[in-house]
This record gives sequence, structure tokens and C-alpha cells, in this order.
Amino acid sequence: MAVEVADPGAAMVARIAGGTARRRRRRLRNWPLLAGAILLGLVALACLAAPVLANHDPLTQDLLNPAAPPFSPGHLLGTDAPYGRDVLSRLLYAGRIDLLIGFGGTGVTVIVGSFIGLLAGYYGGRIDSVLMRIVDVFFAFPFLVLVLAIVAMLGPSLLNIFIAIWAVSWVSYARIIRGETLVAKKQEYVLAARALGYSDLRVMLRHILPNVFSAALIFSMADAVGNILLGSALGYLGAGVPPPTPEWGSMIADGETFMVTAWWVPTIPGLAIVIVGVALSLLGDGLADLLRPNA
Amino acid sequence: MGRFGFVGRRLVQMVPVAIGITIIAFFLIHLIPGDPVVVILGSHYTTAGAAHLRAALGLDKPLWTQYLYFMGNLLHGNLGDSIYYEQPVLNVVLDRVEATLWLVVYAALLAALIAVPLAIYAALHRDGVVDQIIRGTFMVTLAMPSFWVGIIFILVLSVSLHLFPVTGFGDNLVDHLWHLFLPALTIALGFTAVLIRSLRNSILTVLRADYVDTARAKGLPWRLIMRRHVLRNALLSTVTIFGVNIAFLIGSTVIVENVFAVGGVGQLLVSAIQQRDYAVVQGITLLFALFVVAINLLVDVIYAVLDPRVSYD
Amino acid sequence: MTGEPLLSVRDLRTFFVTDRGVLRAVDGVSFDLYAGETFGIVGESGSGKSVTCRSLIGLLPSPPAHTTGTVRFGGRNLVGLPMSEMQKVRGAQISMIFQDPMSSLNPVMSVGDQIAEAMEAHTSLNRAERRKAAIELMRSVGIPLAGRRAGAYPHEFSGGMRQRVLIAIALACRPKILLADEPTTALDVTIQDQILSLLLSLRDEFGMSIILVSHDLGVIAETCTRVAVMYGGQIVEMTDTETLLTHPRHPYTVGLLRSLPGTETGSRYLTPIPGAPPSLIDPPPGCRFYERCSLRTEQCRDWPAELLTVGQNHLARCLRHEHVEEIA
Repeated sequence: MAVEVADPGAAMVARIAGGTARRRRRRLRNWPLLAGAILLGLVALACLAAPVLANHDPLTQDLLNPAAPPFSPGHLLGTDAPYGRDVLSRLLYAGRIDLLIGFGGTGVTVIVGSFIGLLAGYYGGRIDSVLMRIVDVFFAFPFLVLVLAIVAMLGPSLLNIFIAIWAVSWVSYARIIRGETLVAKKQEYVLAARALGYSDLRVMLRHILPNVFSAALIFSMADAVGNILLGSALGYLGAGVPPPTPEWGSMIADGETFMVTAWWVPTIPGLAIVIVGVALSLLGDGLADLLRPNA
Repeated sequence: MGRFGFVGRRLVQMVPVAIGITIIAFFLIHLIPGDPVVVILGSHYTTAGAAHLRAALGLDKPLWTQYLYFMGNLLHGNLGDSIYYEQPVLNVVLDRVEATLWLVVYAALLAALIAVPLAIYAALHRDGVVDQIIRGTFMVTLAMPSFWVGIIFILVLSVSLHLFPVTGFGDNLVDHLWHLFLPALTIALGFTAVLIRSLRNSILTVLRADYVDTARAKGLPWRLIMRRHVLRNALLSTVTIFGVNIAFLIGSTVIVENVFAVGGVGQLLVSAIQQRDYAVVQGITLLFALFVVAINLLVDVIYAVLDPRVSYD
Repeated sequence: MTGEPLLSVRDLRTFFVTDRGVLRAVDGVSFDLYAGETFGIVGESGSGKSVTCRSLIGLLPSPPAHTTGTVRFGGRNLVGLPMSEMQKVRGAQISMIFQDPMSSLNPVMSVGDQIAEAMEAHTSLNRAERRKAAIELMRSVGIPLAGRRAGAYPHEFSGGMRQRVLIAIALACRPKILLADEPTTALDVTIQDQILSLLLSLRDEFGMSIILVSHDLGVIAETCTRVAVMYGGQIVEMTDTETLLTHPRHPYTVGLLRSLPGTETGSRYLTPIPGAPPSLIDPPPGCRFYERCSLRTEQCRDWPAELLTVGQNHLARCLRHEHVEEIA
């Protein structure tokens, strides 16, 4: 009775499954997270170690050696025009400023904006309406324009740039977290916590926040890129950190006039910005895959 | 009530936001450390001029009275006077608004032109090589500062290859299109990335919809299904994307105008900052925000017209 | 059944390539459909009944789905038919209606346009004629004030009305076969009956055959003359409805009958079948119902699980089919 009947479907399985095994082996799960983290880590480390890695003072001029191309002796990335300052050193020190703007700007706004969004979403009603109206008002201003205006009024300095970014960027997080909170507060675990009589603050911070924070974290990567682009744009337009402090945007502006004769001077800082931006984007994608995997 | 009621109601909803905008713009001047009159007048300082400005701004009055002065002026179209140009701010801005509007519209159109075909292709060949290249390329372009891209464009296409003029706005229609091409393209590059991502997701979502199955089961050719069922629904959500991103578009325009010396409002803003012409800075900030609100209203109306599910009541 | 079958399915297999392996959703399905009859396919979710329907007209996206076998219709095999040919069959010869009427209509097109569209690809009627025909169709499916409502949009209709629109779309070109995939599952119970009677009366009026897929044996019992029971991607029993209800020959069928409230073989309390359906990625080699079967023996484990003829026009995939009456 136990006749070995060949499974007619097996041949078909073998035929169509052949290709996929190969494809699956090659793709490392969540490589963006790894790549982004490594890239960002390297750049941050390099900039932090600027005093060690830079073999020149970023402000020292060498008027005998302006516009030296990359791989010139003693100047790995050349010197700028017309002052002859070492590009690599300036690049590394400038990186500190720009990375600081990126992380410092984002760091504060994540917390403030998320908390406001949490309040609005949790309490709803009047509080929500008022807070979200305020958010709408801020969103009407192009961020660059408002930051420019605030820095112009307060006076150009790194602190004022921070103040301007903090005053303006929190709204993105408020909106995101409010949306997430609206959904979260209807979930069972929240209803359970409230039924147990936990205080509002406790429910918000210890129950809702951990679940909704992933959205803010993922967005903070894109926000950091935005802040770095914002900061360097301010530097380019001459409204940012005042000279002679090196900053990637102002380096690009300084080198613009010499674009034809010394292309590396404006181009290399731009590349630095792109590299950091890509690293942060990869990190953001990786985090999104990690924290919110969906189809 | 119908459509006019709809527009009317949206206008009413906009009023608090508009008021909020004026409040923020109002406070900008008060951020100036020290005596604002001294700082504003700068090198043009005279005792008489200072007294006049102090009275005009109502600086000796309580804050909310000052705001009322500000609003009163605003409603008469008075945004203050430019110290540098010695003209009303509004005039100075209006002189330059044409170039900026051209640039914004041009950039938006270019971005749409590039993004739509690429997004359709990427969605239909999901996870294929081309899709990944497109997404990867635009991830990189999103990280590129627009001023840097602009400079490179100038170096390669204007200076080396002499294909486009370096600066300026041009004199007639065709001239405008030619002069503004590079700046518009620079702005579009950043915006395209956002558009492609959103449109691609939209299309993928619609492709999974049940009504697409219904259409396929009718035996319709795929082109027709794409046109009438997939794209019509996917593009609908893209309309709102334009509204949401108009503020970003303006920010890019300000930067790019300065790279290419287009002579628009963005360039005016930056030179006003350098010249400490605070009234101009404040005026432009206010006007930009109001423009964004107006565009969002327009987008809402267009969306309501296109989507039959939106009720007018 | 007399005469040549209208549709003849042999060894239909549809497999999906997934991250976790090859999913054998439909694994060797064979049946015939005759003119004018209503043929039911019943089974739980995941049994492969919907996939079977969609495979008949090639509606599954071709990676990751792969279909082999024969679907004989109009003198040719529909499996592997080039898309241009398949599009001529769909809508015109074989139509399909889907489960959820709430999402099966394009929200930005009027219902009249969507019904007219069904005729666009297959008839030479001009726009006005198509529009007129669409309104007529809306009347035949029982939508009141058809003339005025043709320009309305789907969101203005209730679930039952939308399903009528979808039926109108399916019937627009007088197809020979209608595939109905759970047409009443998403509707209120009161509306369900209306839709089912509508389908039956249209079947007679238009002279077509229906394949009705459902997880609800009650729906099948009311409307179908012959039934196939599917489990684990295979047909486990197939016969006329009467016989299936009174003399089932497969333990799973018995389980289905028992879980039906109020039938003759059903008890007063609903009795679910213990256990869960088998994984279709690596299905067991023998009988796929083995794990949940109350009649199983050691022999069943090694048995290759073929469909046996257990009566006149009655097939069952069970080694111990003679003993099934004991548990019925």
C-alpha cells in the first residue's frame, strides 16, 4: 500500500526556487544601519581628533603657497586661495562646527518637540488645538528664512544659530509625536495603565513615549542632515559663524571665486557635507528597518 | 453651500494662522539686542530720524499697542521702510518678486517632470537594479547642499561648456527660461528626491488596491489601467506634497538665487541682512510665510476639485 | 453531468516564491465545470480556494507566483496564455467579482463609467451606447434610480449596492463563466441573501456558469449544485451538494458540517476542528489532514493521499473514507 509516489510538485519547486537562494545569501540584513553608523563614526572621530590629525593650524596663512593642489607635500588636500591655509586642517576643524550644529540642533528639538507633541496628543481638545495651531504657524515659515531672520536680528554667532534652530525646528517633532500619540492612546496598554490609576505624566512618559519615540528617532536623522545643510547654508551666505572660524559652508563661499583655478577648495567641503548627509540617511533607513519593520 | 462655501471656510480657518505669522514677524524686530532704533538706523542715525522711527514703531508704548501699530500698518500695505534703498519695503520687494516667482514655478515644474516618470518606473520595477539606482542617487542628492550643486553647475555648464549664462534673469520669455534653467534645476534636484519617494510609495500602495484587481479582471490593457486607475489615484496624493513642501522650495530658492545672482527676493533678503536693513528682513519673512499659506489654500482647493470624496459641506 | 465541460482544470499548481521558501498554495487541483451550473469551492482561509480562482485567469503577479497545469477553455489552455490573449478572455468570457466591495471600486471614477469601461475593451459600442448599456445593467442588478445614479461615485453607495455594481461590471459582456470569490463575506447577513438570489437569477437570465468560492458552507449549500472541498491546497472531496451534506466521505468535510450551526448533522453547540492548517511551504508528504484527523491510523501517514472514487461522481482523498460515516 505504501507506494512511493514521486511528488509531482517537487520538480516545480526546484525549478522556481533556484534563483532566490542565491539572492538571499548576498544581502546582509540591514546593511544601511551598519554602513551609516561606521561612516558617521569615522567622520565624527576624525573631526574630534582634529588637533591630532591636522598637521597645520587651520588659521595659519601661507601666502607663499596659495592654491596648492591636493597631494602637495605637507598638504594632503591642498591649500586654499588666496591665503594658502591647509584645506585638510580647516576641513576637520570646520567639521566640528557643522557636526555640532547638526547634533546640537537636533538633540534639543527632539526632546522639546516630542514632549509638546505628547502633551497635545494625549490631552487632546483645547490644548491640542492651541498647540497645533502654533505648530501650523511655524510651519508656514520656510525654516531657512526664519532662521536667517532670527540670526540676523540676534547677531551672527554659533549660540545664536542654535537658538534660532531650537526656536524653529521643534515643530516637526511635535507634529510627528502628536500623531503617534493619538494612535497610541487608544491602544490597550494605555487604557490598562489609566484604569490602574497611573498619573497622566507617568502614562505619557513611561508607557506611551517608549513606543512612539522610534518615529522621532528615525526623523531625527533626516533632521540632523537638514540642520547641517542649514548651518552650512548660513555659512555660505555669510550669515553664520563669523570668520575666521572655519565652517564647511563658508569654506565653499570663500573658494567660489577660485572655482576654476582651485576647484578643490570649494568642492572638498561640499563632499564632506554629502558624506555626512549620506551617512545619516543610511543610519535613518537602517533605524527605520530596525524599529519599524513593515512590508 | 457648495464650493464657494468651502473656500470661504478654509479662508476663515487660515485667519488664526495668518495672525500667528504676523505675531512672529512682529517679534523679530524685538530680538535685536540693545536699542533697536540705534541698530536699525545704523550709520543713518540722526536724532530726528530716531525720534520719528521711535514714534512710528510705537516703541515707548506697551508691547501689545506696538503690535496693533504693526498690524494697522500691515493692513494698509505698509511694511516699513528700507533704510538702504530709502523706499517702502513693499516696493523694494515687489520690484524683485517676478524673478523669484518664475524660479519657484520653474523649479516645481522641472521637479515634477523629472520625478513622475522616474517614480513610475521605480514603482513598476520595484527592487530592480534601476529602482535601487534611482533611490540611491537621490539619497545622495538629498545630502548635497544646493549652493554647492549650483556652483558645480556653473563651473561645468556655464564656464567650461558655455551652455548657460552664469547669472541674471533675462529679458523676455525665452531668455528667462534659459537664464533660470540652471538655478531651477539646482532647486529641483532636492525637491525631486522628496517627490520621487512619495510618488513611488503612492503608486506601490495603489497597485496593491482591490480596485486594480477589478480593473485587471475586466480584461483592460495595462496602459489603460495605469492611466485611469493607478496614476489618477496615486497622483492625487502628490498634489498635497506640493503644498507641504512649498516652504522648503522657497528656502532652496533663497539660497540658489544668491548663487546665481538672479536678482529676486531671496537675493534681496541676504543683502538686506548684510546691510542691516532690518525692516526688509522682517518684511520678506512675513511675506514668504503668507505666500506659503496662500499656496496651501490653493492646493486644498485643487485637491477638493480633483477628489470626489471630499465633501463641500 | 452531461455533455462536454465548459471549463476543464487538470493538475493546477500555483506556487509562490517567498523569503522563507516556496509556498505551495494550490497543489494539484482538478475539476470540471459544466454549462449553466453553479460549482462551489469551500474551505478555510489558506486552503487555496481564492488562489485557485485567480489562477484560472492568471490574475496573480508573475513573480512571485508560478502556475502550471491545464485550464482548458474554448479549446485552449489558459495557463501560460500570453497576456494579450488573456485580456481578451477576462471580462468577456470569464469574469470575476472579489470579496470586499468597499475597496474594489476606483474611488475617483463614477460607477457608470466603471461599468461602461468593462465594455470598452471587448465591444465596439461607442461612448453613448456603453453608457446606456451601463444604466440598463444597473437596473438588472437592482440598483434603484439607475439613470440618475450612474454619475455617482462609489463612496456614495452602501456595501450591498457596491457589490451589485461589481456584479454589473462582471456581467457587462455576458461572460460564460462568473468567478465569485467570497461575494457575500463582507456584507451584512440580510444583504447576503439578496446578493445570492441576485446571482442565481442572473445566472439563469444570462445563461452562465458560476464558480462560487466561500468559507461558509451554508452559502454554498444554498446556491451550488456541486461542491469541491479544499484543504491545504488540495481538493479533499468533490461531489454534488446533496450528497456532500448527507453522506460526506472525508473527515474534514464532517468537521466543516459540524461547525455549521443548525444543519442536520450539526450539533447544538458549534464544534470547531482542533489544530491548525498545515504549512504550505513544506507540506507533509502524505495526507495533509493527518494531524487533525480523528480517524487517522499509521497507514495514513505513509499513504500518498490521492483522490479516490468513493461513489458515483464522488471523489474523496481519504484512505478510511468508508469509516467516515461513523463520525458523521
